[in-house]
Amino acid sequence: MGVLILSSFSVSFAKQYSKPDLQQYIKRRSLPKNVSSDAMIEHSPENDRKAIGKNLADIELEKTQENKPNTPQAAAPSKEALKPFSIRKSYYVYDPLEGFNRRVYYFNYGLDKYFIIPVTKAYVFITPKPIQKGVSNFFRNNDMIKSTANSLLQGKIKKAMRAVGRFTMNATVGLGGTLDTASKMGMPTPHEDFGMTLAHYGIKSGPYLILPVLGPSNLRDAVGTGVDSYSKRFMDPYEAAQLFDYDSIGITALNGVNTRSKIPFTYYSTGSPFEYEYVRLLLTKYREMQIRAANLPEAPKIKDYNKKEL
Amino acid sequence: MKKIMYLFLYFIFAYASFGKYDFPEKNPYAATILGSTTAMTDFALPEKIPTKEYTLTLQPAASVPDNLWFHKKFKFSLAYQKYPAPLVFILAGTGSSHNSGRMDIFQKILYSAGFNVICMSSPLSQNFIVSASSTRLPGMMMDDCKDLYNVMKLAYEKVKDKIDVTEFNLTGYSLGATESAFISYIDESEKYFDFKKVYMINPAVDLYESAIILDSFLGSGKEAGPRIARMLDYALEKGVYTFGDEYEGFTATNIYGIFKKAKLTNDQMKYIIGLVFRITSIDLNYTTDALNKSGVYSKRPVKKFDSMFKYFEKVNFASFEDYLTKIVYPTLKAKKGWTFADIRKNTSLELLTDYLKKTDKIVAVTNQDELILTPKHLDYLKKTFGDRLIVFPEGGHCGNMYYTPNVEIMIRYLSEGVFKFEN
Repeated sequence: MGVLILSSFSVSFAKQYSKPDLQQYIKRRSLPKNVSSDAMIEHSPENDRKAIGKNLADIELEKTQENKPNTPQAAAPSKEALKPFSIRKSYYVYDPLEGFNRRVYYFNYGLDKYFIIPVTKAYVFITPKPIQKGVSNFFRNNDMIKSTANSLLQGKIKKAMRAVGRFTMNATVGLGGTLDTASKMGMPTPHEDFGMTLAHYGIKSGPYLILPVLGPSNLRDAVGTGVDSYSKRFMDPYEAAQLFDYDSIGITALNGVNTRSKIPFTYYSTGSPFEYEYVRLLLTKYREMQIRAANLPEAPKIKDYNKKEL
Repeated sequence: MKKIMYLFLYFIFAYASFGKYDFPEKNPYAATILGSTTAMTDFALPEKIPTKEYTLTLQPAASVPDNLWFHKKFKFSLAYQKYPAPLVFILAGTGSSHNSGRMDIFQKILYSAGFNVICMSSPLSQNFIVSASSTRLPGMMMDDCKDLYNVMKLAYEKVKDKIDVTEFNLTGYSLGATESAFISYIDESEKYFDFKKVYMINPAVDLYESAIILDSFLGSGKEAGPRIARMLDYALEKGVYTFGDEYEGFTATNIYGIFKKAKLTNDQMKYIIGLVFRITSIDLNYTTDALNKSGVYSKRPVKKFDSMFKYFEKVNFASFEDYLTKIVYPTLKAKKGWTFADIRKNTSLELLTDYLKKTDKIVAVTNQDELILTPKHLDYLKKTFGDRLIVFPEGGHCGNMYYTPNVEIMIRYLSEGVFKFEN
């Protein structure tokens, strides 16, 4: 999922709904004030430009001098840096079932192309935007049940309470979860799943796996996903309230379509011969990051993450 | 037509007195990175526009290696208007495909302004190399653009029933801008499209020299490997705190804020820009080697589901310079008896100097702090284009393409033929 989010960086800004469209913008824009036409183009202002502006020969020279490490965390050459560098160590992910995985990757591509994406497109096309939003909020809110259960399994009581708080707020004031009132009130969104619970108790990720339909994962998280979706039926507040069965095929399908409609990635779309390797590496790193973030002693805030010594 | 009228009226008012050019991001590296977003665009783009992706089969299927099966067909996309309108071809930057993020934004902008739009992948993109390149050794500008021109003709043939075209225009950014000059040159003799206006956005003057600058951001292949690994670890460390935030989380809307707060150093931003270019180079190195069977990275054909990691190791983050020296040069030396000087000559816009000086349908925009130009290049552009060149004070490499005043100048030129920057 990480790579999918990362890959959507560039498009995401296009989706700022608050801006007027081009036509409205043209109508609305008032006359700008008169400004003298100073020749500000005359001179190159910044110092960095100089570095690039040098002759290519100089750049060549810099390249050879530039061997000293530059990123802050490597300011003093550590023992790591002195070891000979191995691509395999830094970029390979344990993947003994690669042949099988690549075939499932290919199978998923076909399934995606001829079935899932057409269905998703139809859903996005026929469903009004507010309803899509409501559906997506509903499923997001339901994830809180999973988060609560897994937080409790890991003994994270405070986190479980935050998840319960969010769920209750949205389920009541937010009309059954279709409105995201909690976020508007500034309530946190904790996330835990069974894969993360297993990781919390020290279980390693195991071999990389491409799951049919669901896509890239690993052995531990595949088990986690299985447990999470199996246990859904025992923690179904809607069935308890005799509304509907959350575990039914219809709701599960809707959940799937909703999830897929939010992922801008399609198989083989990067066009790179190394796409499989890149996806494998980035998703593994993303998951690592998510698990480490969930196990920080205190939930951090973006506001002050820069102050942290890294 | 209504849309064009709106635009026309708008420009009359807006340009009567134009605001001072005040691009908010002064650091050229940060500008270059943010340039892939519409953070600087004042108007919202439509979320969905009528587009269609088409494919063309140009190479015999047998000539496509098994592990690159997904590039058997050439892909391009069309955004179409319901009424007669001009058609604009957009040529993608180095190695980008027709549906990359930046192309997507361009397509939406030009569609909103009332144009039919066809997006073409870069001749250095994987899809083009495998499915459309006749040499399968991209980088030599004139050869690439002959291929590209052919594909453009076929693409138009394929979609001409769907659109009603009043005139043909051409634009491109980065290497796509350089290519548009070549395409226009070829079109002068072939007259198939007879382009009326050509708009070059941040062109490279010399592909080789610009590539060396971008290569240098990340260093040689040997340096790049550990450097990218460190970058990933660093991003992971930072990311732990970003993703750990249950209050803000990591959503599309706060990426700009996070980027700002991350306070990356110039070196780190150079690494990011260098990395984007390096990923293109890695693919380019591997694919051209496999297609030309030059045996530098892979000795025998790879099957459809074979692991590619050993080739990734073998390529070892090879740079664009590696591509030219290890693959292009030996191949062309053997085939055509070329020297390296011949290759250098063929990567440069200077092949067209005479044409560029006298034609008045081609205009160009660039930036004073453009990363891929040396001062010599900038002088060359000024001398060659004269008053058909606008040099914006800041913007880095393609960082201000979607900044509102830039968009206005582009649309004004493509719709009215008036090229003016009153600052």
